[in-house]
Amino acid sequence: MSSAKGMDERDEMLAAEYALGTLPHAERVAFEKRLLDDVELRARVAQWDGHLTPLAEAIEPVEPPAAVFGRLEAQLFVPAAPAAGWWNSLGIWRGLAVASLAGVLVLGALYADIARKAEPEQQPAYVAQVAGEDSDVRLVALYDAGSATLRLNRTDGEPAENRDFELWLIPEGQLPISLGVLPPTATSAVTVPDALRPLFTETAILAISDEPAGGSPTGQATGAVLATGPVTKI
Amino acid sequence: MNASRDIAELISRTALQDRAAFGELYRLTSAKLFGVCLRVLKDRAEAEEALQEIYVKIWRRASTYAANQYSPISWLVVVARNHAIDIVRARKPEEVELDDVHDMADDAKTPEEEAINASDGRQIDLCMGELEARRADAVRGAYVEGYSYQELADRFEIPVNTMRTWLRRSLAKLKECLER
Repeated sequence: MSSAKGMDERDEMLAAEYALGTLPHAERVAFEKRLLDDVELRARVAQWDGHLTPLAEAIEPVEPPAAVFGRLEAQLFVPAAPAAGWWNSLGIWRGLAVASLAGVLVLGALYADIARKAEPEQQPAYVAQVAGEDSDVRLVALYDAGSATLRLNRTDGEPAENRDFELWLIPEGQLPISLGVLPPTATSAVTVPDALRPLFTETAILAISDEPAGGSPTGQATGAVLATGPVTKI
Repeated sequence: MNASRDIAELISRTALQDRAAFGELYRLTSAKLFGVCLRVLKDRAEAEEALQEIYVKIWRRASTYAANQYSPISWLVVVARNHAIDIVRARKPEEVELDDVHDMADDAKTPEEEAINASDGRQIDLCMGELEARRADAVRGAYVEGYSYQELADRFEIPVNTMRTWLRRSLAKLKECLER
């Protein structure tokens, strides 16, 4: 039984049980250690994996909750956020300019925490990263329902001469509603009018269009829509 | 069907730290891998956490994909399943000896079983069909549900050591058939 053939058969069975998943815990841990530097053993496992994976076709796909991808991106791509004074930190905004929505969510969650601490009653907060495929306009918006404040930070993009950027709220299935012209400063805050507050929900979209100086003369976007982003609750 | 080639390309681009490709890979494959996690872990919160960790592994190990011998989707399934199985095995560690008894159950198939496994073409189905039905069920249960030897033994009402012996024989038979 101590023959090479015996060892070979033993490894073959361990590889099979490992691939099948039944190898008991302690043996599994020991086997995984061996796998690290045993090419032959890895090849045995790969062969069993190849044999057995067709059995996975019987497993029904289940859509994971959207939040998982956000957490995943936050884990992989967003450096740890500082705890205080972050709103005006240029570094944060520079970071956000390249970060994905997940990054915004993480910082947004932090903001929501701060906001919740300040407010006795918990009110939802929303975040949107407004960006365009064909333009360099990027804006991060955070809406605190408690104070009806929409904080904006334009992280990239400048309007052309004699043009302005105008911000729009687009409730699902409705025409865009102007939230005003973006000021020339990178950061700004807007108090959202009473009538528009209920429209800040997760089905809404924020958009930025290119308009004549002073904003659209018609009340609807007249120039190109440069950037859009969905509103997400945090 | 170019899905497999698409996924292979997305994995290669992920290896180059292409986040957009990684996002697309997630979009195309996360439902399958989440399904795998749910079946094995049987707990939604744990499955969500596992899924996140699995894609972290995929992001970090994508560069090793090209060098291995897996088809793209099976590589992803294997990464996911191994992760989930590691978790369940650690949850309730067991020790299982093999027993030396003779294989008492009759391995020959009944005529009904013969009739059932005639079709379907795929080698694995063909070979699973050559196993006695209860044994094929045990292999399938172990793979799809991530059952441990103890859980299988309870289900099939045989001692756990016998279960392990049983399953090993089934795997050996399966291998012999698959490599025929």
